[in-house]
Amino acid sequence: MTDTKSLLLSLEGKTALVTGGSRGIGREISILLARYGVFVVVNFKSDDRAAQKTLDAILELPGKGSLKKFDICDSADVEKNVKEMIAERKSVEILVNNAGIARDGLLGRMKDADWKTVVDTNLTGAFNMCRALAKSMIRNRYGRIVNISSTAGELGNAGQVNYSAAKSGLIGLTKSLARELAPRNILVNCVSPGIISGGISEELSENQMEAIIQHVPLGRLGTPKDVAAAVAFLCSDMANYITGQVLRINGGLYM
Amino acid sequence: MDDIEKKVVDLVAEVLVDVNKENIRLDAKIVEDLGAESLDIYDMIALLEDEFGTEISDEEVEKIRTVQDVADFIKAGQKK
Repeated sequence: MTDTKSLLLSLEGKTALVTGGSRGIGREISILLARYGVFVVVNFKSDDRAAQKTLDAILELPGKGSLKKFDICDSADVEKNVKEMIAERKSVEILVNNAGIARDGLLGRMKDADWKTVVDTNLTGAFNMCRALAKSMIRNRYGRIVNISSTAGELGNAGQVNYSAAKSGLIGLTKSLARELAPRNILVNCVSPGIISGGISEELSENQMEAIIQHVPLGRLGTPKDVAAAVAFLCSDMANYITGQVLRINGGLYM
Repeated sequence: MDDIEKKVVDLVAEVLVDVNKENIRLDAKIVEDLGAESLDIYDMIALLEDEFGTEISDEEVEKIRTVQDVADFIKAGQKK
């Protein structure tokens, strides 16, 4: 009879790619997976220092990992880097599409670039990554893909037409891909965080924060570790019968 | 069966795990006889492209019906 710890330890020896893994939620996801024995490839776009700090934190656990700097919005760059990764690691079993940005503003004043870059990073980036890694996951008949959506994508949020559209789009992508890849034992799920400390939400003012917390039944912000735990669970053998789902980490903000 | 035909049968058997390799005749239709689904076809194309270094376009995929068709296509590609 396998106990809980070894079920979770089913992560041992696997390789994961975490996009936007250098800071915030991505950083905690990377560190937690490494804690469970996963070799974590931390992808980032520009913050070399933060990425190195995350890798150092992984290595100190002691854990295993590496850095890969590339832009997930550039499909050629994605294909090239994924090819390299597979050559280095033989297979990449886990993909966490965490990279995300916000460019808030009211619709009437939202510039083309603000719409495009948010949809590109949050949604198209995830598409590029899934497509690049699907082939080897299909070949290996094993894969775990976790897409980081947001409560904004489910409830909507004034001033976040772009962000909500992209995050909501991720949910649709997740469900379609879950259906498509199920015959090959590739499970695709979404984690939908609410208001989390240390990330994009930090840009809100104290008043805005307080106003939002009123709506959170658990009366506090979430932490990146709260989100990371959900991701690790979905990547593990404990989640073997879970696919196409949206796991909400939001303190009850949206049920 | 020549070498290429044997290799194609191996690859088809690798993808279609429920099919017995002995039952994969060259004239077997990949979808109708062997029960391949669209994901299987995709997988086979990818495997063949990697193995033989050829690229198979969507139009060409449309024309392939039997295992023999696949082998013939690969052989034609190798001559170029």
